[in-house]
Amino acid sequence: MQSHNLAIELRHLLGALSLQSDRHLSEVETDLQQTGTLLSEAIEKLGSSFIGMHAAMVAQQALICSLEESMTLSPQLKEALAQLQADSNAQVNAGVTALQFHDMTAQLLGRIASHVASLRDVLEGVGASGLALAGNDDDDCALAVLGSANRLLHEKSTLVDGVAPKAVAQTHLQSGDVELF
Amino acid sequence: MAKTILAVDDSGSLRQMVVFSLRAAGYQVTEAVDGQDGLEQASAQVFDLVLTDQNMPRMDGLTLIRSLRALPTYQRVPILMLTTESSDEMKSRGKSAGANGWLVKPFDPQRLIDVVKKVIG
Repeated sequence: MQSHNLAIELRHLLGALSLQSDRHLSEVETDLQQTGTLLSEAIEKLGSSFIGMHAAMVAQQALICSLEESMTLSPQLKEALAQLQADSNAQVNAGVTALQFHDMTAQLLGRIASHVASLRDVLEGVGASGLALAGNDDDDCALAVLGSANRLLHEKSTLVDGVAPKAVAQTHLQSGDVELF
Repeated sequence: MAKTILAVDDSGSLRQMVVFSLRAAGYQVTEAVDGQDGLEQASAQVFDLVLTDQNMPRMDGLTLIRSLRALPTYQRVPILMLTTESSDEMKSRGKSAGANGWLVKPFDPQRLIDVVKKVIG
Protein backbone atom coordinates (compact mmCIF):
# COMPACT_ATOMS: atom_id res chain seq x y z
CA MET A 1 0.00 0.00 0.00
CA GLN A 2 2.85 2.32 0.95
CA SER A 3 4.68 1.59 -2.33
CA HIS A 4 1.52 2.26 -4.26
CA ASN A 5 1.11 5.64 -2.54
CA LEU A 6 4.74 6.58 -2.99
CA ALA A 7 4.60 6.00 -6.73
CA ILE A 8 1.37 7.98 -7.08
CA GLU A 9 2.61 10.84 -4.89
CA LEU A 10 5.90 10.98 -6.77
CA ARG A 11 4.13 11.00 -10.13
CA HIS A 12 1.85 13.80 -8.95
CA LEU A 13 4.73 15.78 -7.47
CA LEU A 14 6.89 15.66 -10.60
CA GLY A 15 3.93 16.31 -12.88
CA ALA A 16 2.67 19.27 -10.83
CA LEU A 17 6.19 20.70 -10.52
CA SER A 18 6.59 20.58 -14.27
CA LEU A 19 3.12 21.94 -15.04
CA GLN A 20 3.17 24.81 -12.54
CA SER A 21 6.72 25.78 -13.48
CA ASP A 22 5.70 25.81 -17.12
CA ARG A 23 2.84 28.17 -16.34
CA HIS A 24 5.12 30.51 -14.37
CA LEU A 25 7.75 30.42 -17.10
CA SER A 26 5.15 31.15 -19.76
CA GLU A 27 4.13 34.25 -17.81
CA VAL A 28 7.78 35.27 -17.47
CA GLU A 29 8.34 34.81 -21.21
CA THR A 30 5.23 36.83 -22.07
CA ASP A 31 6.29 39.65 -19.74
CA LEU A 32 9.85 39.60 -21.09
CA GLN A 33 8.56 39.86 -24.64
CA GLN A 34 6.22 42.71 -23.67
CA THR A 35 9.05 44.49 -21.83
CA GLY A 36 11.29 44.11 -24.86
CA THR A 37 8.60 45.49 -27.16
CA LEU A 38 7.90 48.46 -24.89
CA LEU A 39 11.61 49.25 -24.53
CA SER A 40 12.11 49.02 -28.31
CA GLU A 41 9.23 51.38 -28.95
CA ALA A 42 10.43 53.72 -26.22
CA ILE A 43 13.97 53.95 -27.54
CA GLU A 44 12.73 54.51 -31.08
CA LYS A 45 10.57 57.43 -29.97
CA LEU A 46 13.16 58.82 -27.56
CA GLY A 47 15.87 58.63 -30.23
CA SER A 48 13.73 60.41 -32.83
CA SER A 49 12.64 63.08 -30.33
CA PHE A 50 16.19 63.59 -29.12
CA ILE A 51 17.55 64.08 -32.63
CA GLY A 52 14.62 66.35 -33.50
CA MET A 53 15.21 68.46 -30.38
CA HIS A 54 18.90 68.68 -31.14
CA ALA A 55 18.21 69.84 -34.70
CA ALA A 56 15.89 72.54 -33.33
CA MET A 57 18.51 73.53 -30.79
CA VAL A 58 21.19 73.85 -33.47
CA ALA A 59 18.86 75.99 -35.60
CA GLN A 60 18.06 78.15 -32.58
CA GLN A 61 21.76 78.56 -31.84
CA ALA A 62 22.43 79.60 -35.44
CA LEU A 63 19.66 82.18 -35.13
CA ILE A 64 21.14 83.51 -31.90
CA CYS A 65 24.56 83.77 -33.56
CA SER A 66 23.14 85.80 -36.44
CA LEU A 67 21.29 88.06 -33.97
CA GLU A 68 24.53 88.55 -32.07
CA GLU A 69 26.20 89.73 -35.26
CA SER A 70 23.47 92.25 -36.06
CA MET A 71 23.10 93.81 -32.62
CA THR A 72 25.24 94.91 -29.76
CA LEU A 73 24.99 92.69 -26.71
CA SER A 74 26.31 93.44 -23.28
CA PRO A 75 29.27 91.27 -22.14
CA GLN A 76 27.03 89.79 -19.42
CA LEU A 77 24.43 88.74 -21.97
CA LYS A 78 27.09 87.26 -24.25
CA GLU A 79 28.50 85.32 -21.32
CA ALA A 80 25.05 84.08 -20.34
CA LEU A 81 24.36 82.90 -23.91
CA ALA A 82 27.72 81.11 -24.04
CA GLN A 83 26.97 79.43 -20.71
CA LEU A 84 23.56 78.31 -21.96
CA GLN A 85 25.20 76.87 -25.06
CA ALA A 86 27.75 74.99 -22.95
CA ASP A 87 25.00 73.66 -20.67
CA SER A 88 22.98 72.50 -23.68
CA ASN A 89 25.99 70.69 -25.14
CA ALA A 90 26.63 68.95 -21.81
CA GLN A 91 23.00 67.85 -21.66
CA VAL A 92 23.17 66.52 -25.23
CA ASN A 93 26.28 64.51 -24.38
CA ALA A 94 24.61 63.11 -21.26
CA GLY A 95 21.54 62.24 -23.35
CA VAL A 96 23.62 60.34 -25.92
CA THR A 97 25.20 58.28 -23.14
CA ALA A 98 21.86 57.57 -21.45
CA LEU A 99 20.11 56.63 -24.70
CA GLN A 100 22.45 53.67 -25.04
CA PHE A 101 20.46 51.87 -22.33
CA HIS A 102 18.52 49.86 -24.90
CA ASP A 103 21.58 48.10 -26.29
CA MET A 104 22.42 46.81 -22.81
CA THR A 105 18.90 46.00 -21.63
CA ALA A 106 18.17 44.14 -24.89
CA GLN A 107 21.25 41.97 -24.34
CA LEU A 108 20.21 41.28 -20.74
CA LEU A 109 16.62 40.44 -21.76
CA GLY A 110 17.91 38.07 -24.43
CA ARG A 111 20.08 36.33 -21.87
CA ILE A 112 17.20 36.03 -19.39
CA ALA A 113 15.05 34.50 -22.16
CA SER A 114 17.79 31.93 -22.86
CA HIS A 115 17.94 30.96 -19.19
CA VAL A 116 14.15 30.66 -19.02
CA ALA A 117 14.19 28.37 -22.07
CA SER A 118 16.89 26.22 -20.45
CA LEU A 119 14.95 26.02 -17.18
CA ARG A 120 11.80 25.03 -19.09
CA ASP A 121 13.77 22.24 -20.75
CA VAL A 122 15.01 20.97 -17.37
CA LEU A 123 11.56 21.00 -15.79
CA GLU A 124 9.94 19.32 -18.78
CA GLY A 125 12.46 16.52 -18.38
CA VAL A 126 11.64 16.16 -14.69
CA GLY A 127 7.93 16.03 -15.50
CA ALA A 128 8.51 13.39 -18.15
CA SER A 129 10.37 11.26 -15.57
CA GLY A 130 7.25 11.22 -13.39
CA LEU A 131 5.08 10.08 -16.28
CA ALA A 132 7.10 6.86 -16.42
CA LEU A 133 5.53 5.81 -13.11
CA ALA A 134 2.31 3.81 -12.98
CA GLY A 135 -0.05 3.77 -10.00
CA ASN A 136 0.80 0.18 -9.09
CA ASP A 137 4.60 0.61 -9.25
CA ASP A 138 6.57 -0.38 -6.15
CA ASP A 139 9.28 1.46 -4.20
CA ASP A 140 12.03 0.21 -6.49
CA CYS A 141 10.33 1.71 -9.50
CA ALA A 142 9.77 4.98 -7.61
CA LEU A 143 13.45 5.07 -6.59
CA ALA A 144 14.49 4.33 -10.16
CA VAL A 145 12.43 7.28 -11.37
CA LEU A 146 13.94 9.55 -8.70
CA GLY A 147 17.41 8.38 -9.75
CA SER A 148 16.57 9.09 -13.37
CA ALA A 149 15.31 12.57 -12.49
CA ASN A 150 18.45 13.27 -10.49
CA ARG A 151 20.67 12.14 -13.38
CA LEU A 152 18.70 14.36 -15.71
CA LEU A 153 19.14 17.36 -13.41
CA HIS A 154 22.85 16.67 -13.21
CA GLU A 155 23.14 16.42 -17.01
CA LYS A 156 21.11 19.58 -17.56
CA SER A 157 23.17 21.54 -15.02
CA THR A 158 25.60 22.24 -17.85
CA LEU A 159 22.82 24.17 -19.62
CA VAL A 160 23.43 27.07 -17.25
CA ASP A 161 26.94 27.37 -18.63
CA GLY A 162 25.64 26.79 -22.16
CA VAL A 163 23.83 30.13 -22.18
CA ALA A 164 26.01 32.90 -23.60
CA PRO A 165 28.36 34.35 -20.97
CA LYS A 166 27.29 37.62 -19.44
CA ALA A 167 28.51 40.42 -21.69
CA VAL A 168 26.93 43.29 -19.78
CA ALA A 169 28.54 43.98 -16.42
CA GLN A 170 27.40 47.59 -16.31
CA THR A 171 25.07 48.48 -13.46
CA HIS A 172 24.95 52.22 -14.18
CA LEU A 173 24.80 54.33 -17.33
CA GLN A 174 28.19 55.89 -16.78
CA SER A 175 30.45 56.13 -19.80
CA GLY A 176 32.93 53.26 -20.04
CA ASP A 177 36.70 53.08 -20.25
CA VAL A 178 38.68 53.87 -23.36
CA GLU A 179 41.94 52.10 -24.13
CA LEU A 180 44.10 52.48 -27.21
CA PHE A 181 46.49 49.61 -27.97
CA MET B 1 37.00 65.61 -47.82
CA ALA B 2 35.37 64.07 -44.76
CA LYS B 3 36.97 60.96 -43.25
CA THR B 4 34.83 57.86 -43.61
CA ILE B 5 33.84 55.59 -40.73
CA LEU B 6 32.06 52.24 -40.82
CA ALA B 7 29.95 51.74 -37.67
CA VAL B 8 29.05 48.09 -37.11
CA ASP B 9 26.47 47.24 -34.44
CA ASP B 10 23.33 45.12 -34.33
CA SER B 11 21.60 47.65 -32.08
CA GLY B 12 19.81 50.26 -34.15
CA SER B 13 19.60 52.71 -31.25
CA LEU B 14 23.32 52.40 -30.56
CA ARG B 15 24.14 52.99 -34.24
CA GLN B 16 21.84 56.00 -34.17
CA MET B 17 23.85 57.54 -31.32
CA VAL B 18 27.20 56.73 -32.96
CA VAL B 19 26.07 58.27 -36.25
CA PHE B 20 24.63 61.29 -34.46
CA SER B 21 27.85 61.91 -32.54
CA LEU B 22 30.33 61.36 -35.35
CA ARG B 23 28.37 63.17 -38.08
CA ALA B 24 28.12 66.21 -35.79
CA ALA B 25 31.93 66.13 -35.65
CA GLY B 26 32.16 66.15 -39.44
CA TYR B 27 32.72 62.47 -40.21
CA GLN B 28 30.93 60.54 -42.92
CA VAL B 29 29.45 57.49 -41.25
CA THR B 30 28.13 54.32 -42.88
CA GLU B 31 26.16 51.77 -40.86
CA ALA B 32 26.36 47.98 -40.87
CA VAL B 33 23.90 45.82 -38.91
CA ASP B 34 26.29 42.98 -37.99
CA GLY B 35 29.76 41.63 -38.68
CA GLN B 36 28.79 39.98 -41.96
CA ASP B 37 27.19 43.17 -43.25
CA GLY B 38 30.25 45.08 -42.05
CA LEU B 39 32.62 42.78 -43.92
CA GLU B 40 30.58 43.10 -47.11
CA GLN B 41 30.49 46.89 -46.91
CA ALA B 42 34.17 47.10 -46.03
CA SER B 43 35.02 44.88 -48.98
CA ALA B 44 33.16 47.21 -51.33
CA GLN B 45 34.70 50.43 -49.97
CA VAL B 46 37.82 51.13 -47.93
CA PHE B 47 36.90 53.19 -44.88
CA ASP B 48 39.30 55.34 -42.88
CA LEU B 49 38.15 53.73 -39.63
CA VAL B 50 36.03 50.78 -38.54
CA LEU B 51 34.15 50.95 -35.25
CA THR B 52 32.63 47.62 -34.30
CA ASP B 53 30.59 45.95 -31.60
CA GLN B 54 31.55 42.47 -30.35
CA ASN B 55 28.35 40.46 -29.76
CA MET B 56 26.35 40.40 -32.97
CA PRO B 57 24.38 37.78 -34.93
CA ARG B 58 25.94 36.09 -38.01
CA MET B 59 29.45 37.42 -37.33
CA ASP B 60 30.90 38.84 -34.13
CA GLY B 61 33.32 41.73 -33.86
CA LEU B 62 36.48 39.68 -33.31
CA THR B 63 35.74 37.55 -36.38
CA LEU B 64 35.10 40.72 -38.37
CA ILE B 65 38.43 42.18 -37.31
CA ARG B 66 40.31 38.99 -38.25
CA SER B 67 38.51 38.91 -41.60
CA LEU B 68 39.32 42.55 -42.28
CA ARG B 69 42.97 42.13 -41.30
CA ALA B 70 43.19 39.31 -43.84
CA LEU B 71 42.29 41.80 -46.59
CA PRO B 72 45.30 43.69 -48.02
CA THR B 73 43.30 46.95 -47.96
CA TYR B 74 42.58 46.73 -44.22
CA GLN B 75 45.96 45.84 -42.81
CA ARG B 76 46.63 49.43 -41.75
CA VAL B 77 43.11 50.75 -41.30
CA PRO B 78 42.40 51.53 -37.63
CA ILE B 79 39.74 49.33 -36.05
CA LEU B 80 38.17 50.18 -32.70
CA MET B 81 35.93 47.94 -30.64
CA LEU B 82 32.88 49.58 -29.06
CA THR B 83 31.26 46.99 -26.83
CA THR B 84 29.67 46.27 -23.48
CA GLU B 85 32.43 43.71 -22.89
CA SER B 86 35.01 45.07 -20.48
CA SER B 87 37.07 42.12 -19.29
CA ASP B 88 40.84 42.11 -19.70
CA GLU B 89 40.56 38.73 -21.41
CA MET B 90 38.28 40.10 -24.12
CA LYS B 91 40.47 43.17 -24.58
CA SER B 92 43.47 40.91 -24.98
CA ARG B 93 41.62 38.84 -27.57
CA GLY B 94 40.68 42.04 -29.38
CA LYS B 95 44.26 43.22 -29.42
CA SER B 96 45.43 39.86 -30.74
CA ALA B 97 42.77 39.93 -33.46
CA GLY B 98 44.08 43.29 -34.65
CA ALA B 99 41.99 45.92 -32.87
CA ASN B 100 43.68 49.27 -32.27
CA GLY B 101 41.56 50.25 -29.31
CA TRP B 102 38.75 49.27 -26.97
CA LEU B 103 35.85 51.48 -25.91
CA VAL B 104 33.40 50.22 -23.31
CA LYS B 105 29.72 51.12 -23.73
CA PRO B 106 28.00 53.32 -22.97
CA PHE B 107 30.25 55.86 -24.68
CA ASP B 108 30.51 59.55 -23.97
CA PRO B 109 30.19 61.30 -27.37
CA GLN B 110 32.98 63.78 -26.72
CA ARG B 111 35.36 61.02 -25.64
CA LEU B 112 34.42 59.01 -28.72
CA ILE B 113 35.12 62.00 -30.96
CA ASP B 114 38.43 62.65 -29.16
CA VAL B 115 39.54 59.05 -29.70
CA VAL B 116 38.49 59.05 -33.36
CA LYS B 117 40.32 62.36 -33.92
CA LYS B 118 43.40 60.95 -32.27
CA VAL B 119 43.31 57.87 -34.49
CA ILE B 120 42.38 59.28 -37.91
CA GLY B 121 42.46 63.03 -37.44
